[in-house]
Amino acid sequence: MKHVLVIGILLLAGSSTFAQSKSQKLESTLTSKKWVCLDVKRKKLTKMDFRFEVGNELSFSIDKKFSFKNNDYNYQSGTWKMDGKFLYFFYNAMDGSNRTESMQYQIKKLNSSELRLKRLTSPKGKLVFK
Amino acid sequence: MNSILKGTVAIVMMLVLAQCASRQVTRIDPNSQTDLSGRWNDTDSKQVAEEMISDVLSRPWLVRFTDANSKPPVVIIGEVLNKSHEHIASETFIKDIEREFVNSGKVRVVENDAFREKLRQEVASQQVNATLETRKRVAAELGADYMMFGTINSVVDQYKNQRTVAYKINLELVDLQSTEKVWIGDKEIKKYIKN
Repeated sequence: MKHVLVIGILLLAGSSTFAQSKSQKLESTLTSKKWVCLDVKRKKLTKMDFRFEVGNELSFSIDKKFSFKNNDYNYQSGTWKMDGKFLYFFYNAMDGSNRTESMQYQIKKLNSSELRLKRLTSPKGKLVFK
Repeated sequence: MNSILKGTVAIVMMLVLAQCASRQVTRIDPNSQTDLSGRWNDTDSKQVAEEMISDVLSRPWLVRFTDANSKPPVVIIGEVLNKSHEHIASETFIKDIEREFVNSGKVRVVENDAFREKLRQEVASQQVNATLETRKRVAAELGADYMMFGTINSVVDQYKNQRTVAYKINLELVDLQSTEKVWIGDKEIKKYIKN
């Protein structure tokens, strides 16, 4: 019984360390380069005030800040947080107020050459960065 | 004894020549991250520029000014004081900020005092030398609404062969009329160097 408990604790600690290192690896991949949007799936995203279009630039920095620039030279900057498969963006509202808003995305794919995000905040859609 | 000396000199010369011959220069991507000495470099400058640009252009001061005046604000870039322990050319990231202001069309930029004098000399010269149709008027410059300036600070912590360097870059945008600070941007860069 005692052995089972020890093995259980070891397995739990191991899986926790593995998850942590995986998350760190994903974060370092995310901050390794400037991502350029190459595909926007869902037309609503291209008709918003802050439009998402092909050619937009998204960059993440090691101090958990992000900057996003669309083709109208509109900028979004703020902080980001990765929670497992989900990526959160916190930024200043674009209406001139001091309100902080957020966006939630699901990471569908992330490696050194491609980042696929599914936007969960309305209007929903998918963005492909390379 | 003389031949030993000659031999040593010859060996040293050969080593020096071999060193010169082994130098290799390769073109690399200007956006690639290279850290050789641990000192301030182009990657740091680019990071500061990117963060400051996106921050200053996404904050409420810009929307508020444009809504209130129905025209883009005019900004003059002032001095960025380097109070850090090493030489940092602030012009590299300041120029990036100016470029993005101008390219965005959301902010207009006027020359700072260093270059303005040269422009004024040229306008003064035109009053005498240029034709009446092409002559530019004196005292018809665009007045700035805001001035941007800042500081660069650094903190070094060292023990034996380990060293950490933390840079903090602060930029501020101040309303020239009211002296109100409308935006303060900061960027911190921390490096761990082990020899």
